[in-house]
Amino acid sequence: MKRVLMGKLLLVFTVSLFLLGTVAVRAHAAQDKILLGAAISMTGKFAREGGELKGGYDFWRDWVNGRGGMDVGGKKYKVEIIYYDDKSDTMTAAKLTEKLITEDKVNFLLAPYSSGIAFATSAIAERYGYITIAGAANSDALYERGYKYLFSLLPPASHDFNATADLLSRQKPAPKTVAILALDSLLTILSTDGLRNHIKTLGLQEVYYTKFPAKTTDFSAMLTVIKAKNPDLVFFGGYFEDSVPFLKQCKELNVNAKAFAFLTAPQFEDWVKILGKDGDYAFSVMYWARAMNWKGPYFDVKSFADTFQKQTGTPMRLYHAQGAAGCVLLQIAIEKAGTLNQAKVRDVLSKMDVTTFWGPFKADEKGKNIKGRIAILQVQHGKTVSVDPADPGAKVWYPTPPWDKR
Amino acid sequence: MAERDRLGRKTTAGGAWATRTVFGVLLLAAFLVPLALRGYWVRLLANVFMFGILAQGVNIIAGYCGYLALGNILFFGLGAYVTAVLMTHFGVPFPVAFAASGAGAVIFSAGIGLLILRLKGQYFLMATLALSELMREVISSLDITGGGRGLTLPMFTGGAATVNNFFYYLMLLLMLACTFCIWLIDRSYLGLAFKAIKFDEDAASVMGINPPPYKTAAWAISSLFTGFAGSAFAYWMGYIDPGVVFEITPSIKMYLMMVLGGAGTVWGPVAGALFIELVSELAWSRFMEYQFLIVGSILILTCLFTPKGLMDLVGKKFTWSLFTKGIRENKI
Repeated sequence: MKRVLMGKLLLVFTVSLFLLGTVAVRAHAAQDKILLGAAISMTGKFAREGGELKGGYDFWRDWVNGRGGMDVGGKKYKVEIIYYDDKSDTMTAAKLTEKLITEDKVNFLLAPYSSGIAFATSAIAERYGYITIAGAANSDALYERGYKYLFSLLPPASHDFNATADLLSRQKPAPKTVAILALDSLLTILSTDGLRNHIKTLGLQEVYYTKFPAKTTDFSAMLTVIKAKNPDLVFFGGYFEDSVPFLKQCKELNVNAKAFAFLTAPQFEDWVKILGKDGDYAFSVMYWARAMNWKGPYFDVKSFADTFQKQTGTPMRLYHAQGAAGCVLLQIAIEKAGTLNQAKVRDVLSKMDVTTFWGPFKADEKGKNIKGRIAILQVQHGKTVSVDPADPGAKVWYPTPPWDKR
Repeated sequence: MAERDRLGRKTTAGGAWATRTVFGVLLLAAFLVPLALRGYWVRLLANVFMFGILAQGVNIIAGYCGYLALGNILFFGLGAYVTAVLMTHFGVPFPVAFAASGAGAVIFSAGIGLLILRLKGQYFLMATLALSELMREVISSLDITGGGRGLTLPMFTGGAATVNNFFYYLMLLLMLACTFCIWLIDRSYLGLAFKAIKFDEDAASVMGINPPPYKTAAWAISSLFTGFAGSAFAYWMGYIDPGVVFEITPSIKMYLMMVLGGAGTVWGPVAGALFIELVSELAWSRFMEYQFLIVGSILILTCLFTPKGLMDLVGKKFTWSLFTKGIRENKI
């Protein structure tokens, strides 16, 4: 009898959930509001990056609403953002983008995290004539599809390592040989492919190149070959979880070079926590650094970080800035166009030559930001220091001493 | 008076008419959907149909034959990559690449099936998972597949509605074709042989059924469905990389759909795909923060109420005892 009763209760619970779900009504955007939509990774493998990007969008929304809203043709519009979780999944992101456009009828879209997801969502946005300002998707191939409504905030991924190679080629004693390792994934391969072409123009010789699969933890075979080749520079195209064991094993196998250059890993706090003094001398690529000192119409680099901290109560991180920068760029274009018409705002964006707190923006005919800059950081005394452009008093530590003399 | 079909199963004329009428109405509705609904719903249903195809693929090898091919996503990825490579590197039109994807999946499954279909139970399951990972690594290391960078396919030309409608009808027709194929198998001696292998392979051998060719045939048909779905998916998305098309989650999802709808039934996997996708959709759109909790709870409860799948409810009266029977049998 008890079992039967429990069964009935469970059935009622299930049916109730359905009914509750179907009758729930979300409030629609009121008039005099600009409705933005974002399908963004809140769960899954990109949850951390997606969460920070969302933090940047939220900050900008609150900031712009605090100023009375966006000025469009002399009228102030408050901003509202609809968020959906794409679960770090391409297909879900595509579905949600279509929902934002056709069901929610948003005025503008905010971009997702990662080039892989942006491939699918930008294709849908393009077909509906919706603008995508990709704040965190800079795969070169994204911009080779002839799209008219897709713009990149970042410089192309194939340029990621070039500034580091430029900086190191100017150091004394001049490097001559290079070893390159690349994680077999979209962005890392693009970065290292770009580097391999670029070092030829600098007169550097590639003595070793290899790709390695994701989740590689043992680099000893590769390092044994590198040690025999004795390159001046080692470029490692991998993420944080690859870069840390790589450098640890460099020390264990006593593999030395005049410089070890990474993509973004050394800029994370955990780099120093895990590697301690061994993490010093490592170079890192950064799309944005305080030393760049960009000044925009609403913020400069410092005031953005300060305002973010004050408004949200959390320290500003890179993807917060990327998210907010994409929104600021859209805001400038909308206000300049004086309309919410996608085609007209798109025309403004394609001709715009502007500098925001994030840096310069000028799109080529493919939507790539040809004025995008990259900063080079180096870990010195356990802290990341911008060496190009240089923080006040900062100098490049070069060459890197051998492991037994550090 | 009940009649019997050529395999000796009971049929009733009245029941058949009711079923045909319902089926006809649903089919007509499915074909009219793009005329009545907007882009998002069309895309959502196309997604459901794609999972219907994948679940039918698993249904043949696992539901009918009893071989748990959890790594069936292997053929999805293979089909996607055959299409992507042919279209990007050789300029092959989509229909040809689509056909080649199905053929490639069948050739691969038939070849490898002769070896690994000797394994049974969890060993076969693990072997298919390992194969899927192996294929992912191979494709990640080849230049022609773009390695970890993936491949960008030529864009389907046309407006949003044209693209959505094309893939909607493609997935719908493909799912119907797969289901029709399973319906034919279900009514044939091939289907009986599959079921005999599922229930007792040794006994089936004694009765004159030579299991290896039947099992290979089942896996080849399964891979054909899955390879076609992979091909359509690649062209639909416009970009693929190994992480996307060899992802294990859809593999588990297609299994769940088959089990929930009714393993070894003609329409069960389709019902399962529809149920799971629509429940997931309702859950995230209404209760985003609790979506996983809600979907998980509903799936567990559904399995408890109808342990043989949703198709087991067809033709039965919806009474309290029907549901509580499921609970009693599962000893809650």
